Amino acid sequence: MVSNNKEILSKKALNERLKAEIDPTDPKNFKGGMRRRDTPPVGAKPKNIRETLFRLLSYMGVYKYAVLMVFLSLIAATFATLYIPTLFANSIDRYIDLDDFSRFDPTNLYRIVIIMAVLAGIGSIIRFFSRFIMVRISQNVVKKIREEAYDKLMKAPVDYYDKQGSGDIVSRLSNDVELISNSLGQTVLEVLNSSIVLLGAFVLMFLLNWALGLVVIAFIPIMILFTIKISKKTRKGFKEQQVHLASLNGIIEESVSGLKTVKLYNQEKPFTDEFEIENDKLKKAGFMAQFYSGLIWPFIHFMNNLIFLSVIAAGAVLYLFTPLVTIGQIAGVSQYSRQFIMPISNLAQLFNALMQGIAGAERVFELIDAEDEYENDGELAIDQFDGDISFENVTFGYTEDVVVLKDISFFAKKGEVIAIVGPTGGGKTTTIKLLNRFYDINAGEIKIDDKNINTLQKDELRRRIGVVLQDTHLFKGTVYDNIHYGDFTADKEAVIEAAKMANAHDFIIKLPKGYETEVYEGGQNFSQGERQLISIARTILNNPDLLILDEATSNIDTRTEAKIQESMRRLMKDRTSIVIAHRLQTIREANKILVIDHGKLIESGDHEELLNAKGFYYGLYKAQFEQ
Amino acid sequence: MKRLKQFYQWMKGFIHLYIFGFALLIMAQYLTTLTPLFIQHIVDSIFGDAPSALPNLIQGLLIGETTQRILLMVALVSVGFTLIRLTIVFFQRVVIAHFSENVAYSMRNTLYAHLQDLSFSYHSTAETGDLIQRSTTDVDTFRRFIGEQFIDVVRLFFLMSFAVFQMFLMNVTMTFISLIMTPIIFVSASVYFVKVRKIFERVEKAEGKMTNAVQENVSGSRVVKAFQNERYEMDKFDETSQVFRDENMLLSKLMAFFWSGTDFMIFLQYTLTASFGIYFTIMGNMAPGQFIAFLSLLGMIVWPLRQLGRIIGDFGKTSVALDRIDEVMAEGSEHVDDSTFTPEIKGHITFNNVGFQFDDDVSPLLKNINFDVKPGETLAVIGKTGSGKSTLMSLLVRLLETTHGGITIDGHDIRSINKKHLRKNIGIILQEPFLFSKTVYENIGIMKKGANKESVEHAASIAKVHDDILGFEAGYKTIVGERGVTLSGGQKQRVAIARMLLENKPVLVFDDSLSAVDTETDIQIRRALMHHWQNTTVFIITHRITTAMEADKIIVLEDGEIKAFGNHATLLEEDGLYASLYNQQTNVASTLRKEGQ
Repeated sequence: MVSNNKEILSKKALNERLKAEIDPTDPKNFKGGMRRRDTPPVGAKPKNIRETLFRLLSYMGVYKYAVLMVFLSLIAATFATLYIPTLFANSIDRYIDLDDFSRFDPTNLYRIVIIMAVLAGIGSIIRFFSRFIMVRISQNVVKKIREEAYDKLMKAPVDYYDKQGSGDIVSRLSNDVELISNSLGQTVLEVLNSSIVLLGAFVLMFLLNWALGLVVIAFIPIMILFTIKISKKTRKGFKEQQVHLASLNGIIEESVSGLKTVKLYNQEKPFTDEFEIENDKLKKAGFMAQFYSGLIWPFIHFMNNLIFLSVIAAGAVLYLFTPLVTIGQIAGVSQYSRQFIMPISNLAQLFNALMQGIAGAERVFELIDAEDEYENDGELAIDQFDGDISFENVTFGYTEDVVVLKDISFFAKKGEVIAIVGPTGGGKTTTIKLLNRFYDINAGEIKIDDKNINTLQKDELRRRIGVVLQDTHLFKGTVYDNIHYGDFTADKEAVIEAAKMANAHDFIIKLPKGYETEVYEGGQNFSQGERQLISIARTILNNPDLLILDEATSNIDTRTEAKIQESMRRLMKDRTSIVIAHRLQTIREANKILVIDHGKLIESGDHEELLNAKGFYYGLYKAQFEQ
Repeated sequence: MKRLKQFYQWMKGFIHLYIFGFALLIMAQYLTTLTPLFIQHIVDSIFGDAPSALPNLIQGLLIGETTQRILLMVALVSVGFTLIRLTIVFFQRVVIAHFSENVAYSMRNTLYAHLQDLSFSYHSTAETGDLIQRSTTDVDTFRRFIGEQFIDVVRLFFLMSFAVFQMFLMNVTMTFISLIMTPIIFVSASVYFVKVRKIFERVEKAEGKMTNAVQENVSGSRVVKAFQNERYEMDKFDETSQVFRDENMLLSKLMAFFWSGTDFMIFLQYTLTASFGIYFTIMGNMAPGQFIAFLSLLGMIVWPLRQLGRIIGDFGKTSVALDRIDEVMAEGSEHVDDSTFTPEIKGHITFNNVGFQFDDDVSPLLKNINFDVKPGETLAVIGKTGSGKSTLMSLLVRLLETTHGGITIDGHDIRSINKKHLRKNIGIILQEPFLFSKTVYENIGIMKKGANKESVEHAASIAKVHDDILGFEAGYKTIVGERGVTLSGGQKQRVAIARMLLENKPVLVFDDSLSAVDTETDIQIRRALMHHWQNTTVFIITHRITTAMEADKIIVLEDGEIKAFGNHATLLEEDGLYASLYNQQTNVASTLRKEGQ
């Protein structure tokens, strides 16, 4: 059973891992982000076993009496079952006279049989309840851990998501939590059970007959040594199998999602070759894993039989030549001798499962311990912003040592539109991310209505700043839900009104199910332009006081683009807006243009002023908008 | 029967291994059931005077002058038999492992090779994740079934049969008594596993929902935060978490009931057998050794019964997996019946009345497309998203086949030309080029294995991506693509152009392939390319008017039809869609220019 458990567990872990790795619906996997995709480590070892274990146990605090009960009753049940061979031995010695079967009294024997049956029955009932209670407790504990982790995830700063990567986070919340669940619900019980059986059989065997006990004990070192060695090899084989399977998946994924390229460039053959090489490795690893795991069972059986026979042989010799043993004791000890090998080989595997569980718990706790961005929250509540924004000598870097923005200062009066232009990678996007405190600045000050934004309550601040990004994220659900997301208190009319304002209504009602059309994960079933229109509607519904906009660069056809422009203009009306601008029209209409390059504000002013200055902007303008 | 054939079809070529494995397996099971008989032999035949249940052949080995000698012989022979049995078991496992791994290996190879050969239109509707699952997970399901589960069924079946057989030889009445509970155990196991599977599916569904919630909120974290909907998301998650826990509880409740329930039934069976056994022994109907052997043999029957129920459930799962695999295999390869004609291609391309429509679409994507491009000419296709521009190019390289009319190259119908040859001669640079998870260097040199450093770097400089590459930490050795550093859209497009520069192709297609590059760099690259590819037939697909206007011929495509045809000057005069696009995209710039003057 246990070996099965482990296999299911690792397969599941693998599946999760693959899911995280290949999920084509995860935008992180295919676009954006200058990072390698994170793959969570498989079978990583825990760093701090004691601390994690205690912390895990502290979650069970509420249930400590129940847990204690389970443990005690489990011990009782195991001893009840373990006592049967002793009973058996005693009854043989007491009631059966080997020399004369006729003096045999069956009534006593029936009594013994009934006692045995009752003991066995009690044993299984207790085991049933303890397992049941344990699963219940562990499910509740795991649910609590999972929700705590998720709550923290929601409160973690954007920075955390950037650093961890989506694959890693998802794996912590699914894979690792599952590992904890398995450990608490099954592994702990099995470990306990195996240990009790081992200890109990040992004690009872020696109590029954120490001489025969010694015979059994002599074999134990061999068993332990062999089991550990084999299980190490097996584990290595399975691990290798997983690694090769993962890379095989990688090859398929790549050639299927890049199929057009493969076919256009006639790359079928190289890929097939690569696949066959990797496939061959997988086959070999799989065979080796099975080879070693194939050794275990014959070995266990062999040892079982060998010990059994040794006990009988030694017993026979001792019986014939010494008064040390009785026939009943030989029978009893030979039964105990069979109880050793299973727990020993189980424990070797269980130990690994337990370590995996602890390692999983450690990773989940890491998430729970992550920074809470609301902990150092400002205290000032705000009803509404007038809309004066000022950046004063703002300096910022994603990491301490690399400065991305340096000494940026500008001022936007209420209702003004500020356009930010400059080459890609110059720091435009970073600038707008600072206003709603997705990231905190290193030096300088950002003020809204003359109040430092660090003194404001974060959620109030964000509620009043609308953001429309280039790459819009839509959630699974209907189109309606996605717009409604901007303000859950809004009614249906308001949602439709917002969609109309955003120029989204027209295309939405043409959809097969209108507002009730399902949005797939990441919004793949909508074009980028449509996604942006929906997102604008969402922001209109939200009715923010300030705006952050990122104009789309490409891939949007001219007509949709005109619609977006128009709706953005409606949105910006009477609201102080900061726009990363690519369209000439937007730039020209802006009250102020900021040119940012290499993290510095190198020019600012309106269109005419900047053109006349014949500086960087002038060059940029010439290159981009004139032929 | 159909199922059997379906299963057999994949094992062909290795079936002798399977049969050999089964033979070993069956032998081992028989030997297993002999073990308890040795004890019976000692108790009944050596110490008592009842007949031994061991086969005569083995009894012949167990002789000696004194009781001690005989006992020693029994010990030796039984140890010997155990050794033989375990060796057989071990070899059986090795043979089966070899068999199942090989079947899986050849299955994966076949499937993968087939996937590569499937047509582009198949792939445009199939999901990547699903295909991967079919070629690995489903194959593995099958491997487990033939290598583990089915073997278990056969093993348990023979173990139980032999055990019953041995029982029968000793005592018929006792055999029936020992089997009383077995139908109940078997039926409850089967029912249980069917039920558990259903709940299991629900648990997995609940889990999937939870994982989805996490995944989505991780990728949309900025939106959640911007709208301050953290609380809402937490509540939503708590709900799914609750469902998951409840389903899990139900599952464990069921499991607890089943395992302890059947445990109880098995104990009941033991108690019954023991009570009757003692009774019969005392009454003299049964020898004591037989009684002991019966208890051992009983263990070989009742414990495995529970497992059988599970394996029967697995059979259904395997059939589903195989069906999914066969579904892929049933799709025809695009290279079957492909022509072997490989003419030298100069680049004179003619579209005659070309039309295209997907099978399941109501209206055609393209219709009545007619044009002619001579070697060395440049043709621009301009139109909105969805006008059919890219489909046009897919038809040219036969990723899709025309459903109406025909295309010729140098007078040959492209359907008469070998597909791979065609693709080799027509270079297409895609709007969203796909980079493989290899180094930048390998990605550029992908079509020309072993291209030297100079030529790769030269190509990269023409495509204006050389400096970008040197800016990466590992330079040309940087791993890119899905599992490496992600390049920006513009960088990808430039790498794709560099790729094409390494080889001389008579026909080139730019499928909006500079759309993510800024206008200035776009112009620079295009100037450099014009120079490089003077004698090449070039197609430019674009929605940027400035990119199209320099072409020799321009086609304006709308709703799958050619709306206008000519060059920049003639099209402007026509004052149609082209002119209006031109005004939309340039008027701001031109009025500004006037202002500036």
